[in-house]
Amino acid sequence: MVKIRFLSGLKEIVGQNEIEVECSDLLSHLLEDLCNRYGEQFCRLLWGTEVQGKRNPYVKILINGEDIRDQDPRLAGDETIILFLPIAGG
Amino acid sequence: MPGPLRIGFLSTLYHTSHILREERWIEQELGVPALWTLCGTGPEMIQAFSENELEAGYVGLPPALIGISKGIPLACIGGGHVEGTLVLAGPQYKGLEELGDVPLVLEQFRHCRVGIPARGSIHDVIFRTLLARHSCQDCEIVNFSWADLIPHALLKGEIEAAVGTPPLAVLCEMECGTHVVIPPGVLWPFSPSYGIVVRREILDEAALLEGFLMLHERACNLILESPDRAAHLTVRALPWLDKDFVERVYAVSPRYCASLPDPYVRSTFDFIPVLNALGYLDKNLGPESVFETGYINKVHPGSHHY
Repeated sequence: MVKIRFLSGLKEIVGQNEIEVECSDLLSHLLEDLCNRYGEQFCRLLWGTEVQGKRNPYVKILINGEDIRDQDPRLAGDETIILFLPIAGG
Repeated sequence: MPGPLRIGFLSTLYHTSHILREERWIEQELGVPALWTLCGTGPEMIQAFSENELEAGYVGLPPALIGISKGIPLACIGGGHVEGTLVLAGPQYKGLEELGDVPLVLEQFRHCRVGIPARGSIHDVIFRTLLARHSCQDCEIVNFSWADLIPHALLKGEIEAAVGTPPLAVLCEMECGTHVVIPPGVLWPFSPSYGIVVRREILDEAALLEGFLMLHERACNLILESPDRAAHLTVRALPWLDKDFVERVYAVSPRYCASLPDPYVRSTFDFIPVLNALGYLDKNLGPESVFETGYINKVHPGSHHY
């Protein structure tokens, strides 16, 4: 199972801190599923408004602790993914 | 400049980057395209400088000193804020106000784990120095690549306390019920929490740098004098935030200014022996190798308003 943890900025929309899903697909497909599940506000934050098809660079996605930036890795199905909109400073 | 000005910024809410970015001041007032890159910590930004991905950045001075000592051609051309590092912990831990003495506060964290942004960040350097000064080495430091991971670690009991920025303090107070046990002014007076750092290759771009510093100074003044308006602009840039949250953050350590006065420079250089002792510097540095004050002295003559 892929464990997904939502932190600042997203957990309030999702209404949960953590979920587990079955997924061995591209990350982008998992994110599309999350958009369908959590609706327009979540989707708008994730994809932003600037360039269609490109993730909002302000949304951070860590897979097993690594910042994947704009990559779209294929998931093995046992990762821990953390999604958040940073506000806590450097 | 032939291409866009590539600027690194942190999520720290009181940095003027959020206002300049949202309002497109650089594009509109200087006629220069700006490309903004969000970094997790100061050391991550210095890494981006070393890979020639940035020309300018908003960063704490200790990571900049580390970068310069490693040969990255950087110069600090402006200030921004001082005293942006504090220690927070849960309600079971007493604060400085109650205990009256920093060593007594630290004593509570013996054999505890303390969460801090990346190794080499200003928070990491300040807290390691504090521990050494008060012989409190049996406190375990846990470094985080993003400060936003710290509240979850506190809630899970993976750490007992944390060191970081005012936004981290407000966030942890809301999510974990923590409080500030050592406030920023006590930890390291006039600590250069961030400044404007640029690659030396662009130091001859006088119009661009003076223009940038004027916009930066204007935004610093907005945060200081009209926090309501500044928070409004910041929330436009980061629409998932609550305006009250931003204003609470501004009020934690309201010491905003773009200038580089002597206390700022001296406080920065007080980090050098500390960074040497921690083994973070590859060589010693003098003021001329770190600061280029010519532009900011033109843009902000007279006394500072930190």
